[in-house]
Amino acid sequence: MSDPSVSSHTHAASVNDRPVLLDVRNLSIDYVNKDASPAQAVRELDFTLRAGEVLGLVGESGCGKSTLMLGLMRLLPPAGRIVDGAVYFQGRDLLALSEAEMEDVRWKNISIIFQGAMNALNPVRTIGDQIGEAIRLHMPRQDSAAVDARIRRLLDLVGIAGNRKDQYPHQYSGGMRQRAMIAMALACDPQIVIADEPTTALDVMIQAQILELMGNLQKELGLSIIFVTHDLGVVAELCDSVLVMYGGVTAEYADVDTIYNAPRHPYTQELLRAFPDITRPAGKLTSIPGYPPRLDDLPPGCRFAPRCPQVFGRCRQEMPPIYRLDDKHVASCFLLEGESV
Amino acid sequence: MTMPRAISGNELPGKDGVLTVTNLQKRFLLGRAGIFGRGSESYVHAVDDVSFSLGRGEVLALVGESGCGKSTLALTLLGLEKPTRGSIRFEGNEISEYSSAQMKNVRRHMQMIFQDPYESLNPLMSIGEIVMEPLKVHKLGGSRAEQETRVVRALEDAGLKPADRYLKRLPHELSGGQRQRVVIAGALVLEPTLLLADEPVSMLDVSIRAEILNLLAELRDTRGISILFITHDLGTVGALADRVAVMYLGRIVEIGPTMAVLTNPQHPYTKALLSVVPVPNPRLRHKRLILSGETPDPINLPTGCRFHPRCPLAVDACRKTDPPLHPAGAGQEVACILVE
Repeated sequence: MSDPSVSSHTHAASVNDRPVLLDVRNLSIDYVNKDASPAQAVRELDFTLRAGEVLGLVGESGCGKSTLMLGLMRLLPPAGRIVDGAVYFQGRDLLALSEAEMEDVRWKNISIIFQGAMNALNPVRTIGDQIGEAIRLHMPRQDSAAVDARIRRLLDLVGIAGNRKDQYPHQYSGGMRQRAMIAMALACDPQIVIADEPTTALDVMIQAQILELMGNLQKELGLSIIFVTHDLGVVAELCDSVLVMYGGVTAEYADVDTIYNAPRHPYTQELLRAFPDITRPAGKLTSIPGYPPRLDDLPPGCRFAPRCPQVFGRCRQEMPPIYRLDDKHVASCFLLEGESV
Repeated sequence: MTMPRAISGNELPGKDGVLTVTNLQKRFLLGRAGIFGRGSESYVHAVDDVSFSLGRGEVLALVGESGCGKSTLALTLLGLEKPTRGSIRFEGNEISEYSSAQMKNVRRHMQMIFQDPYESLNPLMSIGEIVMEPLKVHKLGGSRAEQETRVVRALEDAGLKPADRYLKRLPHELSGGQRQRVVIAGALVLEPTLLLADEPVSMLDVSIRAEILNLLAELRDTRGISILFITHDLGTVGALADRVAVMYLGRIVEIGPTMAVLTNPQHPYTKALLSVVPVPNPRLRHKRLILSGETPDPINLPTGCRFHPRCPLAVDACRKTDPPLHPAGAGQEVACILVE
């Protein structure tokens, strides 16, 4: 079934030579709650995204991955607060921009496809009209013929016939609505697209079509993509690098091959053992006992300690720092203390 | 009515069959063509000529994409939809013509587990009340004390031990995995012989999916419960199913032992479905057989083989011949004229 020769691993290596587009440093986000202490949704997150790089942001529900993305886009709900850190896009600190400047960044530099967004299309406006709105607002000085041509080109790019621009969302299938959402995200030529669980609600075959489309767009347009997902299979197929989050913090961050073939954090190791692998159908699945922590009720010490098979005394008292294991591999676990470079 | 447990050997394939479905069809009348409705009737062909059997303590996975008819099939087995044609034998009884009162009795023995443990539990009822409810509906379990004993046993069999830690709690106090265990306990309390599990893990986090799959496998092994495991994810069937049936547009296109289907698939649709399951290892990135387009609507079915418009191997004859299931591969049955 599989033919490993089809794909190359040179892409991940070459990505490291490209310029850094996005540099997230020490980002911490709280959700405030007037009756209780704030929920620490994201703590001290560091990562970079290079031009043309595909980063997988992996974690279970409630691990803070969507909050991290909303935070760097400055789209947090009212209770969300960025309490520390910085987000640089090509050297510009996004957290220091005015709201108007940020609005421009959101379409022209970084755009986001929200989870379940294919159900968020306005049902009483045509698809073309909804894509056109983004173009008209953020790329003014284009006459209607130019906007129209651009809508057709965007639809063509995602594999939808241009003449379907005048149809309404209910006339599109689920897969086509997701394609339309991708076209909308590309409306103003962003360099970075954040896709939050873009295929979760889709059938496997439609999911494969969308993933193939995103891979092709990445190559054709040189896009950088952040894939937010809990699906380790999707990440292995598409990404150059992977950031594994647990309980609002980085568990492990490395290139894709290291994460899957030489993971060092116990959470990464356990998560991989729990994920079914169709190439080993008789392989035993192991679950991780317990469940992820609530962000308003975090354990003292390491956030994975209550579920960790390798836990020892110190893990329950102290939060492990992030250890750098090599140039592009970090993990947050006391077991790795001696290996830090 | 009581459900006789005795099963005569020659009526069912294998002397320990629980469920035998033969040529089952379920279609929904959509309307008539023509402005005065005098034209031909049009139907949604949801399930068409499906046959399979399920042994005692066996897990059969029913795999397919949305719209392939797998959920309609489950609803028809439960008597929530009336079959258009065909036979359903459950525990030796032909139930396809049963009245709804008779089916209520059957459903004590045939329980459904739904996909979403967040939506299928009443948020205002305690866990104990939720698991007790089926006993009240079916007026089972004798005295209050006996009912309580059964609730405790169902919760503990579903892995919520000790049960008294959960009885008084409300659904929102539990994690997703624990809620799905409550749903399973609600089915187990009736001591069913057959569980219809419709996507029981697809809403759960990866780290807890395995524990629910392992729980279902344990119920099969210790209680001898038969399970029809409905899923769109071929990745999860290896861990649980003894046999796999792949459905496309209302038909079973391939059925056989799990390892045979997963390692040596015969039907072109099965091969395509397997090739698109993401593999959690970047060193095994491979060419995927991505079918273009989407499953055609089940109203205007393609002529001949229903899969031919999307089949990468289709030849002329596929447009004309509607292929029956025939033996192929390592113990499978396959509906494709190109497979010997």
